[in-house]
Amino acid sequence: MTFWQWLQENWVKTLSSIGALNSALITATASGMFTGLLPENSVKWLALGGFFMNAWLIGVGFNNSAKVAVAKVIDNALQATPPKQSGFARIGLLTGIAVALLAGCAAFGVPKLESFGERLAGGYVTVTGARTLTTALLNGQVIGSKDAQNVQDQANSAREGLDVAGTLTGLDAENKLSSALAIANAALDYLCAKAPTDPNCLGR
Amino acid sequence: MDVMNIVTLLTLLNQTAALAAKLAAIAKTMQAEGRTELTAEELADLRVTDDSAAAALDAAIARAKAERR
Repeated sequence: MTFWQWLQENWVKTLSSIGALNSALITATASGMFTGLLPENSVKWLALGGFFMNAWLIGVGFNNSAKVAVAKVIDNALQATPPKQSGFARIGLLTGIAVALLAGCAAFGVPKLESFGERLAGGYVTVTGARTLTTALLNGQVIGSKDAQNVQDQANSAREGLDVAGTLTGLDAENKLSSALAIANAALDYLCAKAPTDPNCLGR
Repeated sequence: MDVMNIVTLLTLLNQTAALAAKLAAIAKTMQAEGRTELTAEELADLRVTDDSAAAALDAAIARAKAERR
């Protein structure tokens, strides 16, 4: 098998892997992981390079003919070697990467969230992350509209709790924040129940 | 899986990375300034981002329902 044949058969994985690595690079750079290790200008160029490469990958740099060519290559590759599993496994893997990015914030430079305000911000990001993940799963036809609506309802409940928690003080605020985070985590657990084989869901 | 699905997934990865970066920036600023509460601007930014994600999910659900998925 030539490299070109391999690339055709693994085009989706290759593009997705580069995208994931770029996203990790942007996050790591933005969070200051490389600060002190590399000269300041190198850090800026790393972030800019990752951003523009991802912008190209997600289509900003593709003209229509290039998109058609890429689509043809992918279609040919899929027709030549039909996937043993449905798109579920690949989408699950990629969304797993996204969950890992979200759940593994510490690895990407997010400091430990200690104060009430920091945990409140973490709650909002968790809710937004659950919605974003659900949108991708729905668009990828991994889950149906009923499941997506279920997560959306849970996310709305969690969001209401977070909004209220932000207006309270002391123990009341802590209790409201805890219950809102429990709802948000339940929503993520629900999503992982739909993708139980995903390695990033095994710990949930 | 077509090109649009790849675009969707890469967009998801970018959005997730952006969320993690946003949280990191807020937490680091709060710790550097010794604050324990979010500013009104930080709170508004987080809420607007979530509102946008909620609207995107609502639109995706509406599309899926129209396609009887």
